[in-house]
Amino acid sequence: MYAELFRALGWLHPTELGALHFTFTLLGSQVVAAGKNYLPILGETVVGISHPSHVLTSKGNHNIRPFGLLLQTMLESDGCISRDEMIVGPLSASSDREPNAVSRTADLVISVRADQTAISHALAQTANAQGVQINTLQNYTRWPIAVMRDLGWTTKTRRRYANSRRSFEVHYLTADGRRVAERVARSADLRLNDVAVLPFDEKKAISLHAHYSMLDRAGFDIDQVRFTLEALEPSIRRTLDRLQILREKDIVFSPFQSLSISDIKRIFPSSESVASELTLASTGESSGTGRGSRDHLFVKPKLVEMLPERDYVSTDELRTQLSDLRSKHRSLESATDAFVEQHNSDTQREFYPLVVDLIGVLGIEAEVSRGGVNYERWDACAYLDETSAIPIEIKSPAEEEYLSTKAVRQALENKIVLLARGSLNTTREVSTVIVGFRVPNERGDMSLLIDDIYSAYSVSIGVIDFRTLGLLAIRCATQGLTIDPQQLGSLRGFLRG
Amino acid sequence: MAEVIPHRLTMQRGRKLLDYRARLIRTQFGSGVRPVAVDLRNGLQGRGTCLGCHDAPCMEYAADELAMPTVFQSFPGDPSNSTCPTQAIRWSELLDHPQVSSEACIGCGICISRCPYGAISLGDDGVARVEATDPDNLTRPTAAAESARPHAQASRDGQIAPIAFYTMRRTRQTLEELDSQESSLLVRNLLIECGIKCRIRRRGDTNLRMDGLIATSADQIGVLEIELGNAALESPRSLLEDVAVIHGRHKIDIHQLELLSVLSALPNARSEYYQVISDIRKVLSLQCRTITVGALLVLLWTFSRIQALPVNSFVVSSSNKTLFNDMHHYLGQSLQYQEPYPGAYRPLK
Repeated sequence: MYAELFRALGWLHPTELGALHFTFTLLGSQVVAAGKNYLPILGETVVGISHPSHVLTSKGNHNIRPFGLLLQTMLESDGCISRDEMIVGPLSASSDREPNAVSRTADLVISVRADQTAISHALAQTANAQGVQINTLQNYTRWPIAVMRDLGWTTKTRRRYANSRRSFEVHYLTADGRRVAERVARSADLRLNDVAVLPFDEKKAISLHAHYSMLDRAGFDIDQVRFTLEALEPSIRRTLDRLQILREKDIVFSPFQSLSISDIKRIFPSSESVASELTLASTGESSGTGRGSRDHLFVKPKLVEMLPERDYVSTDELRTQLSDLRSKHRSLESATDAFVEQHNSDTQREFYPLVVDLIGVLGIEAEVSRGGVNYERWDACAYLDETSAIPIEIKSPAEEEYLSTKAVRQALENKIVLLARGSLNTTREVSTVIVGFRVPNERGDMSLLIDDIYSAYSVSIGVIDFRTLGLLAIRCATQGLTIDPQQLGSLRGFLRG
Repeated sequence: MAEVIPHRLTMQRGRKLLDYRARLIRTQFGSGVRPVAVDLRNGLQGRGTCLGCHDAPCMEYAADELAMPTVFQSFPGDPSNSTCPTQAIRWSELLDHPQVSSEACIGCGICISRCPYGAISLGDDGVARVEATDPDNLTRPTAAAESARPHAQASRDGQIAPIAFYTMRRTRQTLEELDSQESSLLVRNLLIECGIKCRIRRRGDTNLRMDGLIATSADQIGVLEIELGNAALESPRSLLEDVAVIHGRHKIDIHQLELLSVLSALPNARSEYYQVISDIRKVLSLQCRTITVGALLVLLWTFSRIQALPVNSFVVSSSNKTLFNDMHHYLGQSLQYQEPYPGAYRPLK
C-alpha cells in the first residue's frame, strides 16, 4: 500500500527489474533533501496527484485531480466537509473538467447536510452504485483526512445538520488550507492529456517550468537552475500560448506524477541515478540474512507402542472419554476436531489440568505448577525420567487462541530458571515445551526465533498445538500408540499431528 | 542534467549569525535554576546567549552522532534526528533562533545540554528557555569565514538544575503522559547525551524484535529494551530474544553483546526481576544491565559521560538491587544518595 502511495506522490518509480523494484525519482530525492521542511513539498505532491496518469492505473474513466476538487469543494461548501460527504461528493466524481464541476459537487455536499437521513441515503446510493461496502469507502478516506490534517490544511470540529438538532463531525479548512485551495482554484490545471500531445520540446519546457515552480513554492532554492529555465523561456512562452495560459499564472502540473518513465528520463536525464534503489519483499517474510529453510522445525510424531507399565498416571476417566469420542466419529480426524471444539473457550483453570492429563494419557507423568510459587515459573512440568524434567509453558484459548513469540520467550526463561535454581532435575539438552491452542500460520516469527534461540543458547524449544496433543491422546487411548518420549525430550520446533 | 536542489532553509546549516567576542572557555550552570553564565577568553563574563547556529545542535543531531558501528548499520532504526522527544523546541524563521513551547516541554534538559554556548537554561516553571537577547553584550556579528567553524568545546561547571527539581521528581508521571514514540526518543537521546550511541526501532516496525541497539566509545555493542510501564520482568526475556536474533542475523558471538534495560523505576525488591537476571548470568553467562530514566537524567544534568560499560556496572541482581555504586562512580559521594524520585536508584519497595 505504501508503495502505491509513494508512486502516486511521484516519489518512487518502478525500475526495469520488476514491478516491486523501486527507485527514488528526482522528486522523491527532493523530498529527502527537504529534511524537516518536508511539509510544503508533501502538500505540492498531494495536490499533484491526478488521473489519468502513467504513474498509477485507476479503474474507470477518470479525469480528475482529487485533492484539487476536494479542496475547492470545501471552499464552496462553507469551508468544510465531513467524511461521508467526501465519499458521496469529490471522491466519487469521475471528472472535474466541466466548468461547473466544483459548484455541482459543492451543491451535492450541501444538500446532504439537511439531516442524517439525507447523508445516509446518499452514502448507501454511492456504495450501491460502486458495488463497494460503505465501510470500505469510509476506509478510503483515512489517508486524505490524515494527510490534510498533518499538512495543517484542516482541523476537526462538529456542525449541526440544517434541519436537525443533531451534529456531525466535519473537517474545516484552516487559513493555510484555504490559501492552498484558493491557489489551486486560481491556477491553470494541466493534465496528462494536455501535455502528452505537445511536441517533445514543449512538453519538456512546460514540465521543467511546472516542476521547478513547484519546488520554488515548496521552499527550494531554484537559483542553480535559473539559467536552464531562462534558456527555455521562449519554449515555455510558446507552450503557454498554445495552451492559452497567461505567463503569470501558476501552473498545477507535476511531471513525476503524470508522465511516463521514458518521458521523465528524457526530460530529467539524471533522475534515475540520484538515489539508491530499494526492493520491496513480495511477501511479509523477514529478510534476515543466512536463514534458509525451516522445514526441519516441522516434525511428525514418532509413534511407539505404549508399554502397559508406563501407564501409571491416573487418567482413566479421560482415556474413556477419548475412546467414547472416537467411537462416535467416523474418523480419528473428526473425533479430534470435535474434541478441540469442546475446549475452544477453556480458561487457564480448565485448560492447564487438561493439558497435563492429556500428557498423562500419553504415558508421561506431568503436573501443573502450584500457583504463587515464584521459583516454579513454568505452568506445568513433564517428567521423562528422574533426570529429565520438561518445563511446559501453556497458553489457554482464553489467553491467546494463537501462540506467539511471547510464549517462546517464556519457554526460554522457564528453562533458564529451572537450570539456575535446580528445583527439578534436568539437563540443558532436554527441551522446554510450549502447548497452545493453535499455532499461527507459518510466517517465520516463531520458527525463526526457535532457530535463533537454539543457535545462540543451545536450548531446544518444542511447540505442540492442542489439536496435535488431542490427536495423539485419542490414538493412544484407542490404538495403544504414543509419542516416543525421547522425541518429546529433544523436540525442537512444531510437532505436527 | 537534473540534480537535486537544496532547500532554502537547509542551505544555511553550519552558519552562525553571531559569535562571542572572544573564545568561550567555560559555561557555569551553578547549582540552582538560573541563566547560564559564560566566561570568555578576553575576561568578559555574562549570561550565555543564542548565537543562531543554523545547524541547531539544540534541536537536531548531526548524522555522525546517530551513526552506529558498521555491524549495526543495516538496522532500520528511527530516522528522527530530533533532540527533543516532544518536538518542543523549534526554529523560529522570524526570530532566527530556536523557541521552546511551554506546553510541550517536559524539562528533561537535553536541549540545554546540547547548546554549546550556554544559551538555554531551565526556568522556574520547568520549561527550557532560550536566551537570545545577549543581555550582557557579549556577541558580535560573525564573519562569513568563521561562521561554519566547529562549535566551541568549553568546560562546564555545575548542573542543569538541582536533582530535587520538580520536573525531575515527576519523571514517572511525565513518562506516563508521553506516547511510546516520544518516550523511546527520550531514552535514545538520554543515552546519546550520556555517551552511549543508540538507535531505536522505527515506529510501526514489527519485524524487528529489539527496542534498540547501543554502542559505547569503548567498542562495546549491544541490545536495548525499554520498559517504562509495570512489566519490567518482560525486559530480561526480551533481551535474550534480542541477543538470539542478533546472533542469528549477524553471527555475532552472544558474549560480545551488552544487554541493557532502561526502566522508569527499579521493580519492587520482591520482584522476580532480580532473581531472573541472576539466573541468566548463572546459566548463560550473560550480564543484563539496568538503568533507570531517572539515573540517565541525573547523569545528563551533571554532564557525566558513560565511556564504557565495565563488568558489573549497572547490574542489579538478587545480591545487589540498587544503582548506588554506579551513581557514586559518576557523581561522587555528595550526589550518590540523592535519588531523584522513588525507584530511580533503588527498588520502590
